Amino acid sequence: MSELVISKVDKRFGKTVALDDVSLRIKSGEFICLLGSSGCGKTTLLRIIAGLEQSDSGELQLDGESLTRLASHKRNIGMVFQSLALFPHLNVSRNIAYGLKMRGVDAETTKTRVEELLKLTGLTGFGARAVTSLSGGQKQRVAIARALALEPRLFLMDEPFSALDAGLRDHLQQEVKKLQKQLGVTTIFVTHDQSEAMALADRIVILNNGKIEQAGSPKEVYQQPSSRFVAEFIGANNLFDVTIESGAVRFKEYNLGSSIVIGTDLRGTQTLTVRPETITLLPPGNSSGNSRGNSSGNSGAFLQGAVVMQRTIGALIEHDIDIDGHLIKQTMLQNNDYEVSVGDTVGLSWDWSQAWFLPGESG
Amino acid sequence: MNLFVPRVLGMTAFGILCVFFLVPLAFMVVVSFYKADPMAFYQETFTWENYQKFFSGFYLNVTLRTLWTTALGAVLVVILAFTAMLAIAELSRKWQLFWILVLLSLMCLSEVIVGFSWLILLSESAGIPRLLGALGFWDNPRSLSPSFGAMMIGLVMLGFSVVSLILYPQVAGRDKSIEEAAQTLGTAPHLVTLYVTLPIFMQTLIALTLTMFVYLLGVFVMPIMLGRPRDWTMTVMISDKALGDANLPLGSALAVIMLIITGVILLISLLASRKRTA
Ligand SMILES: Nc1ncnc2c1ncn2[C@@H]1O[C@H](COP(=O)(O)OP(=O)(O)OP(=O)(O)O)[C@@H](O)[C@H]1O
Ligand SMILES: [Mg+2]
Repeated sequence: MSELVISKVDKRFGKTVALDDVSLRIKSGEFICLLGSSGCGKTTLLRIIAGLEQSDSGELQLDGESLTRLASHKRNIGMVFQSLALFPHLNVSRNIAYGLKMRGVDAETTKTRVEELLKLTGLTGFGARAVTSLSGGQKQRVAIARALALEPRLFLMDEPFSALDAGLRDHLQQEVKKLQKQLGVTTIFVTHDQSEAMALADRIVILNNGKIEQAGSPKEVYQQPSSRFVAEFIGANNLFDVTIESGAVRFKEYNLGSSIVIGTDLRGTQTLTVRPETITLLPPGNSSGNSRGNSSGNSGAFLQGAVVMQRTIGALIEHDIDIDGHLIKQTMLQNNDYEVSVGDTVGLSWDWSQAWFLPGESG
Repeated sequence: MNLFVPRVLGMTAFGILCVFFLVPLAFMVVVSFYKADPMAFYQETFTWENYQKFFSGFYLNVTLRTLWTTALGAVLVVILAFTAMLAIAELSRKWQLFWILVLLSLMCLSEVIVGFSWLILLSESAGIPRLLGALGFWDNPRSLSPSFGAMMIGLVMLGFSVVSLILYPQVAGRDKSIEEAAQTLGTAPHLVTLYVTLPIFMQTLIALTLTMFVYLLGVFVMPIMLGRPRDWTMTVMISDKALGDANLPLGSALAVIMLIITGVILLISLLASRKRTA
């Protein structure tokens, strides 16, 4: 149960900037997911926290104590490596007991603790097995148990489930989440899978090119992305470059509505983001083309276009819609019983309370 | 696929090997019971005489000396090669390649050339003693060979490049995160090699030590070139008896005994290492 403060950490490898001015405060007991595409610096940040890599500048503080001069083996930070890094010459119990042995814990206590960890990770009865004889999921559990054996101050996991099949991954995600709540250990979980981050995190930290783009709850980063990168990176999204002038929000020649009704006091060029699932398809007649539908508050169609593609995904149908032959190809999910097929002209509307203007992009 | 042809080929090759190994072996065993005769090679009678000579003391001593000299050489070769490869694996790609090429060229040199170059390096007039003398470290420089140390250097040089080249890919390609994991679990960096890397490689190192042991048992040139007669190993003694004294029966008996001892040692080691892994 420890609070970690990362301030202004930079790291370069030759010309590659791996981390660029990274600052983050992680609360005690928090479950953080570090999310980003390959090569964005996730592993590097984790390694710096674990003391396996030295940052070029910046500082780390764990419970107010600086980590800068503390060697890795003195930090008591449990880490699950991307390659798992189990000791191949030791059996399951000895793998888990390794840290305890290094610490000089007596044999009796070690034995009890190992049994406890085996039980905690669902490995009871596997203690004497060679780690090389385990399945992928079982190896994961050993790596987790080994990292937790010393009751670490921080628990770091580097893409632990990326090599597992979807079913097993879901299962282990739930177990890890439960385990973390139960132990209350401050956790940083690296992943490049946004649904995994969504499922696990108290707070998602999105890294891009070594910079933190946004840190917020799964709901926040989904509904209120702070940048174009986040808006496009997390989930499917529709971005509209709109202009707001004299109280009207305009997209190309369409008037989307008055800014008072929409509830924004922004001006100038803005980026509007609308999630596919908040979009409703309407018959085109309901749209007046250049003014907002006025029959039912803000539920009339704002835009209209032709359906160019349909894909059925389970209960939902995705539609790509071409608006006036412009480049905008949007993915929509039909959520009502209005049926359309490719080639039809349709109207589009959405709930403004779910739409979001990206901050800091006026110009 | 029809496996008939490859099987026949394989069995034939194996058969030929067996014949060429077993026939001389059988001949050797038979000869070892003959009586030595300075005039002819041997008399075809049955005698335990040659074997009795072995237990008379002198040869027993040589055997013990041979075993521990060779074992020491094998252990030294493997320890040195392993630590050298650990160090080389830390270098940049370019330097790794450089050292691998050096090792490869070392391996191309014959036993005689390696022995001879050390003979020169250790001699009084050239090489190391002279250098030490010139630098003022040694008042009265003497030749360092022949000596036990010189012979040991020769033995180690012979095995070093082979063992290094066998170990290199495994050492350079090992998963470093295992060692990092050990650090996060409280192992000080300078102890990681001892606590983690060495145990992981232990099986390989034992196998290589045994191989080197058997290989060095048969080395002939190094003891003669760099060792004193009292450092000589059994191989040298056997050739000395068989060829020098033309006492083929005694040479054969000694060879048979060495073969049995080696076999027993290997068997015990294999059984022991199997028990450890199980
Ligand atoms: N030891 C190193 N030497 C040189 N460059 C490195 C080193 N480690 C990382 N990098 C570079 O730093 C950048 C960040 O690497 P990092 O491993 O942190 O990415 P990541 O986010 O973990 O990616 P992935 O999802 O693929 O694991 C990359 O461009 C990588 O090539
Ligand atoms: Mg990584």
